[in-house]
Amino acid sequence: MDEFQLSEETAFVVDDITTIIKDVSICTTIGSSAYQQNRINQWTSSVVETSLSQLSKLGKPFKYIVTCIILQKNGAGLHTASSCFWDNTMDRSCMVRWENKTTYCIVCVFGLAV
Amino acid sequence: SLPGDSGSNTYKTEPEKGCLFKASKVQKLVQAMLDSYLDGASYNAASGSHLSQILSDMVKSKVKEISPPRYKLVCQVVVGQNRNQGLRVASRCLWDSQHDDFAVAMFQNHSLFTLVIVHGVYCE
Repeated sequence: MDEFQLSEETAFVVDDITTIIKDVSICTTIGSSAYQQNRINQWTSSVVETSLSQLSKLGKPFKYIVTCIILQKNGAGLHTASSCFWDNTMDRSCMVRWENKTTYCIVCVFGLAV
Repeated sequence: SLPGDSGSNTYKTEPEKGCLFKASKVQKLVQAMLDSYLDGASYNAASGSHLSQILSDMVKSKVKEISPPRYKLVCQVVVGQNRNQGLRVASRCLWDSQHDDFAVAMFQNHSLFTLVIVHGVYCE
């Protein structure tokens, strides 16, 4: 049986991905802008597409699923959860929470090894 | 074989004919589960996170039963209080669009809303 070694080049590194999502995708898209109903379509699309293109640039052997939730701050409660049927040794996920004065943004990234 | 079984090489780069992830079938199943489980439910801050995890595990188990072989599943649930706030959820994937697919189901009443997304990803 072949032994598969998890090396830097083929691993899903949660810290790197968290940094990419926060600094590159969310901050450059929303930044300090106030929540605006007519802009959130564009924001969610932009965050998701920027995230995906940054992830594909990493060149790692993963299929990616990126989900972004943008929520207006008005005191309402929100909960997210996920369940996966996958390969525990190689597949990973990470969740990034971000906020400014008027908006919450939650991004979930799932990396499924190819 | 299970997605986690990396011991044997079967040289399968595509699913068998008729063994694709059927998004519409999954959508109907998950929608029915939500409609029945959340009927009459109201939002509760203390139990919200527990509810979202229960739904997530439940949906994943049920979808796994009807899922074709060699498919990995990712199931996400969002449960929120309905207070007329603005909310937008978007999702994008880097995958094989010929064999991978997803299904979405939503439930809403005066007190809460729930969104479920299930992604089915073929594993070579």
